[in-house]
Amino acid sequence: MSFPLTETRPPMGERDAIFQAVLGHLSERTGISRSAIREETALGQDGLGLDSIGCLELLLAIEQGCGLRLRNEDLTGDPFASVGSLVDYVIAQTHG
Amino acid sequence: MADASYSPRRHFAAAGALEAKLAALCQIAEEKPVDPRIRDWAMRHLALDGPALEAWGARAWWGVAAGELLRHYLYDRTRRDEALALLRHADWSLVDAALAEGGVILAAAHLGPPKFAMNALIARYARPMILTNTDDMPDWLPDISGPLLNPLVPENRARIMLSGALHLRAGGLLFGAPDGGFSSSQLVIEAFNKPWPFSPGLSALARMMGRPAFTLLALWDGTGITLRTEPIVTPPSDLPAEAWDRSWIWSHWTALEPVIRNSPENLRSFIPVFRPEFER
Repeated sequence: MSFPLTETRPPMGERDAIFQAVLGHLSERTGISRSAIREETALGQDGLGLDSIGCLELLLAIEQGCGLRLRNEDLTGDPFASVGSLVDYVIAQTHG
Repeated sequence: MADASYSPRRHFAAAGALEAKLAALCQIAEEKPVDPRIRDWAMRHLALDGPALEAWGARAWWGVAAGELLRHYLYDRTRRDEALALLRHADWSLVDAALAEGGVILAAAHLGPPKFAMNALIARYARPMILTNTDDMPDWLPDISGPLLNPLVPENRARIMLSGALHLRAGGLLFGAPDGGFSSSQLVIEAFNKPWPFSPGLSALARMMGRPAFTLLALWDGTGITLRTEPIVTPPSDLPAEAWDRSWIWSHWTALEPVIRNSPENLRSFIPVFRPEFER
């Protein structure tokens, strides 16, 4: 698995790495600065304003950027409830 | 008042074969004056009048009543097969061929008898993923169907898009009806002197997952039902997303337009108008 990290970033755990990758995609997609996006920020209308199509586009971009292959269609919980839940979902898929 | 005396529930419970009941409904429809709401729709959207409107109105009312009668059969586990036996022609060969190559999208429409295409699909394929209003579903249906997901609940939609995408990736069938525009964003086609809103969710899945799609319609054909599958033309990949989705929806629409124009018994949009009367 590879992540689009810069060389100046300090070493991080897997979760931090995925969180940073998600932040990058979110910031690029919404125009909102990375520093304004937190784990608890909602992805939908109450937060970053992504609709259902935007959420899927985001996740597919993360998948491609991180070199993942999402598979399991049986979802438990809502991966799109918040940035943190999306990160948790990606991690779960990584180890699934 | 269209027909205070007609009750699909009582008709369902009465003795007799379904086909005979559907034929009896033809008689009722021909003898009834055309309901003012049906008359108004035909005049405003199809510019009908005179004898043509009278005949059209009788067919439209028959379709509403027959659809509601059929729903009772489809929702009764012990009599569901009587409804499915009305299926006269069903050529799944295009779908089968596409499915051999990977996931396939089936775009239904709110035309023809309610829930019939969905049930025909459940009877034909193992575990298709079905996007539908699950509020009035019988509780046993999930025992025999694939996943039933309700896109009418806004909080579900992003998860449904993800589940649908991964189901297609796994080579599955994804069924939904984009007409009606039950989503936050809509693509609208202007036709018959009115707007026809569509949800872009299915087209977006076709675009993002690169999967083929077919319009799937189960339509009244006399007192039987014919299943139509027509390929949805895949738009050029270099189109911007919204233009791509609009082109996909337009291709789907071209299969619906002649049904709306020529086949009043399949205009299911009248059903919500009449249901309160039928259920009294």
